[in-house]
Amino acid sequence: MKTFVTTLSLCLATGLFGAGPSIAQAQEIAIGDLHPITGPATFYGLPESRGIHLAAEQINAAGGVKVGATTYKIRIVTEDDQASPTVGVAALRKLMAADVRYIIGPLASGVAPALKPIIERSDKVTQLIDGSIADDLTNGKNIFRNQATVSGYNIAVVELFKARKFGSVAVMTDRFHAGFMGSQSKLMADLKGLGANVLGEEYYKLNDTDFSAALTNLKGKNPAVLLIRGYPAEGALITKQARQLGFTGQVVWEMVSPPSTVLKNIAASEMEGVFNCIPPTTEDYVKLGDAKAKALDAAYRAKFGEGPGELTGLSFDAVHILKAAFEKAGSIENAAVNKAMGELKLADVPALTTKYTAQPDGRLFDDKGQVDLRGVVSVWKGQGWEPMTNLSQ
Amino acid sequence: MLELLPQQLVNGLALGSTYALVALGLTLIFGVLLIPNFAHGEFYMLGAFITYALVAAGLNFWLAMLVSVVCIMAMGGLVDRLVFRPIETAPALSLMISALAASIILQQVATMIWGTEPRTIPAPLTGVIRTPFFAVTQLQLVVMASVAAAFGAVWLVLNRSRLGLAIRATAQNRDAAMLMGISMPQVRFATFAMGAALGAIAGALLGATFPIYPSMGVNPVLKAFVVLVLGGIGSLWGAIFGGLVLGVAEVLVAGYIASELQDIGAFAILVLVLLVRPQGLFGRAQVER
Amino acid sequence: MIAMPLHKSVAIAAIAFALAAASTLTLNDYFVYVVTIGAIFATLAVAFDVLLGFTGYLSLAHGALYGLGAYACALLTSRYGLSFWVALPLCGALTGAAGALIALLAFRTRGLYFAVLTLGIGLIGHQLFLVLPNLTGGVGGFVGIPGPEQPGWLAVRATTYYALLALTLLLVTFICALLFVRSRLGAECLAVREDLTLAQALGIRVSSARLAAFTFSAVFAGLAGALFASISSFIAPESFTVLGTGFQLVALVVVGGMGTLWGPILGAALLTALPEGLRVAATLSLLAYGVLLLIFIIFAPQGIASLISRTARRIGGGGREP
Repeated sequence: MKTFVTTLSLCLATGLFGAGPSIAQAQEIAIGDLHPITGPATFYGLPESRGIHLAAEQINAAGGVKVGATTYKIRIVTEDDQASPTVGVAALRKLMAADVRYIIGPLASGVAPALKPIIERSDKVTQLIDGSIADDLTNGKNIFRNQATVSGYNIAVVELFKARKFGSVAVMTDRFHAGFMGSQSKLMADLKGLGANVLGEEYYKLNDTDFSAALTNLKGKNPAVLLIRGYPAEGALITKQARQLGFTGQVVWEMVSPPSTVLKNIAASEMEGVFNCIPPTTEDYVKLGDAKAKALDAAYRAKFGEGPGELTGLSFDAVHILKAAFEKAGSIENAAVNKAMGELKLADVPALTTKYTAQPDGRLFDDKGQVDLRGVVSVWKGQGWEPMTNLSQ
Repeated sequence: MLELLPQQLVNGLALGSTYALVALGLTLIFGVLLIPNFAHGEFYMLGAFITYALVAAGLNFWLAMLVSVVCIMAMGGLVDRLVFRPIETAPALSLMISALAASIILQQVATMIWGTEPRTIPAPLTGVIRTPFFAVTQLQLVVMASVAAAFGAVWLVLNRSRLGLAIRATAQNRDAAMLMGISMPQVRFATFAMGAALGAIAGALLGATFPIYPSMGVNPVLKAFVVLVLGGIGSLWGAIFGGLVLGVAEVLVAGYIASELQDIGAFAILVLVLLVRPQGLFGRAQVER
Repeated sequence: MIAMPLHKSVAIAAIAFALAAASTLTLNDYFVYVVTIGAIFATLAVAFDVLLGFTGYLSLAHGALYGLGAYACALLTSRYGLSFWVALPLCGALTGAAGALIALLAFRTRGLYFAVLTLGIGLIGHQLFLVLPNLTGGVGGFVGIPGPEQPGWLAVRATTYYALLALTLLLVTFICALLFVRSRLGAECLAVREDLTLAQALGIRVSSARLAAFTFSAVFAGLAGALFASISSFIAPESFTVLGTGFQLVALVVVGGMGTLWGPILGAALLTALPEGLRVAATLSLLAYGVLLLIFIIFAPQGIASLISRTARRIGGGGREP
């Protein structure tokens, strides 16, 4: 008994559910989709996973991926990381054991660093991160990212301060968010460099409900701007509580915040005039009249019966980036594809819905495997965010 | 910093009254039936969600709250019947574990129904009262008033009704109460219904202030246990006093030391109190089964 | 309870270990990882059961102790350059000392107060991992922890090697726990669980017995944490929460069987390895946790272990007590 039973049940599990698809069928490229499909981060993760499936479906319908003389179909293998590091590592191991060599994901900044050491050590896997924004996740060898870094978000904050010449700022940061925490000191230095006085930095955590103590202190210093970095439920609550405590200055958000989620937590009238500094979302591109974004939006609505999520475009693009890399490499071996990824030009991937800034030499990724994706400033008008074209008015 | 003190004290009292409101129901059930009901947080959560659903369907907030309270009272009775009655005579440890299980189950059921995306009930009152020294929202005043009202109502039931007499008798000595012919199922149901109603009221009111999501009850119930320990288990006065003390202490720690330490502060107070007085600040030595 | 002779129990455990170890040579990396994590959780569960099952005290501080072992190992190996094999016993000693300290404080209280006090300590521990970024890496986690050095003569995959280490730790923990509960101290713990007042009246050294049980469980929780950190190479505070790890342990031990040592191993296999093998959705697996926990505490408070031994006895011939 004892451990024996453990082994037995494990062997049972292996026998029944293991084995799995060991080798992909000929003429197929398996791409792993590693996102939180269930658990607390579902409402970000699921639209990403769906974006990947949609892209693969469209690519296959249009003839697949042409590598040299062979045409491959893309097969998506979805694994759920539940936004938990341990579950994420197990999911990655499962993908790798099933010989899936290309992985798109993860979303959570808590999962990505747990996967990094495993992926770095392996020469049989290439990762393209489409969600996590924490710094220092890519290596330019076999880990790439087509999502912005927090530093990319911060560019928009800096632009806003430059244009508006705000004299002072107070900051509330979600201390459970690795990305925002990691980039805080750099951003503060940048804002000070622009002549903005940093009057106070306070921290809260996900699921906090009472910010009154910190906000009372910040309000007492009378800053021109209250900058909130985190997630929308707390962002809405902080905005409300700050107003209730009598804060009358400008509120600036730095967070991925779908209007539907925002409006579930705060009245539209209380959001009027709030700025947000993140890279444009699919919805923003649609509002700006971008044809590719509109097509993605329409296809997504047709397939899933609701609008795409904030990050759907990035996941959709990730599949197209891998396709371009396969075709450029003329091979589906990791070493060749990694090299092609590094050399990929922005112009090589015409299907991208996201507007990246090319590297000086025209490449998509820099030497560390990071795209240049910059935050832009939006303002809340009526029922949602409107991209701002002129910052200083 | 000192000129902010009046505002910080008001913040602390407002926060403390939310803790007290959640702790009242918890301390009632514990005091009478000796059940550490971790699932109280889920009464709170479901009270908020039902109110939200009804308000979203177009019902008036106060009416929605009333309906939600009635639903949760029934659910309180049901939870007792399914989760605690079958192990009535088991040691406290088993009761604690089955309460944990109930809490997990209710959370996951709510996740299946509503998903994990946070939302807030549109507030019935949005006004803010401003004085030269502090600002307080009308809703915060309502919460403070409902703490007082809830305390008054429970006190009246316990001290001015036959049912209350039976409940108090049970709390003092269950075996003797049963010998005196007190109907235990009735007392249990009444206690659970009252406790659950208090949880639902807290959920509806606070759900109009804070985001609601399936695991929203976890933190408040942990804080409520701290309140219980501070105020003495089973004491209604203790729940209110403990809640206010905890709220003010947390706000002062966050306001004058560091906002990162708000939680550590609360639990450090708990640990310190228990070290100095293992039976809680105002508690008598705990009744052992 | 079945009181098998010690050498027989150890022999069976050793055989089971050998079988599990052999299986890790053939399974693919993913299943080997599942075995590894299952074994680490089983180690934790056995250690936890020595306290919960044999003294009747519910501690919610063990998630933090597990984390303390993990962070201590991370710091010792990556910042101070110690070998994993030197760091491991140090981590055990450190968490043992921390556990003894917590026990000295916490055993002043009883029942619910004990649970709430240890809950507070567990929460403070988790918060400290977050607010001490210089030591722990804060919310971003601790990156780049060196793995345990693999001896050259052991020509297996790294993943298999890690699984073998985890299984070995489980075996060692199991045997130590067996020796502990069969010692005089273990018997005294049982007396404490059954009736504290009576135990005191009989002149049993109540405080030293439960102090020993708490320290024992803390040491092995720390060792499990240290091994987890080293083989994961990255740890973050969210692996050591009270509501995650702390309650999960309670579920493993209750479902497996409180007060038996192999019950928790069964519980760990059932509740960590199986959902992983089946890749159940997070909502469903948590729901299953809750439902199983409730069913077991109401209908079979002694867990699967008691169900199995009861069945075994019935088959083995009319209530014979082996």
